[in-house]
Amino acid sequence: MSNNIPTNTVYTPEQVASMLQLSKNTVYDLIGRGEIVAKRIGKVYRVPASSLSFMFTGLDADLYTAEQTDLKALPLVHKELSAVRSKS
Amino acid sequence: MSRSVLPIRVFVDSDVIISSLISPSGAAFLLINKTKDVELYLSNFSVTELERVTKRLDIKPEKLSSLIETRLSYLEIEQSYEAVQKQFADYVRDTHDAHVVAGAKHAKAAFLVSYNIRHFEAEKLRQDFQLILLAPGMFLQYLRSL
Repeated sequence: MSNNIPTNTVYTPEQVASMLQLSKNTVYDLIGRGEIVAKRIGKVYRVPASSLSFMFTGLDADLYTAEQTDLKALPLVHKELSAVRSKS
Repeated sequence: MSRSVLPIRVFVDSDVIISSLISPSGAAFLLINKTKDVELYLSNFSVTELERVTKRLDIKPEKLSSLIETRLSYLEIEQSYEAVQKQFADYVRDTHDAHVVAGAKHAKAAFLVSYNIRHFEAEKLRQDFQLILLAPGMFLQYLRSL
């Protein structure tokens, strides 16, 4: 299923532009519109890996979290479902 | 790009339905309770196994019946369980999952949403039935791209 989002990692807008194959200006524009959430530190921005969830997991951050929530109970769900199906 | 007017037909595997009953913040819950223009299907075989699994997991039966009545479209597969297992054996790793494929085909679904991705022959489903197999999160991500 999904890969993990690297924790404790931040990127510069230039790095993000390279990773997403966008121009630097586009990345700054996306930061300005809030589509990429970044932290302004003085005059520069840093983008946490969690803002780039889609790149690492294929899912937006909220969907990734929601899926992880389901995955916690999934082993039990599959165990019971398999037991029921095997008796059908 | 704007969303098509026609609702998207989706067959939902039982693991997704059970997950939606367990966690109100999971992707399965979001799929079943928070999407629009999506028709979600289950079959008579699904209902039978869901009733058994919810009992084993101590989930109130009213929660399941309410969900089926309000959000899910029911379809009756008239073939026997054994006939379904035989007909759809090539699409699953375990023939006990064959009824899920049968349900998706009967529903004329464009998507089969399951947390059991590895148990299905995804490429064969796509080629033979134009049926795309996705986990709930990926399907929700797809909806956002429309």
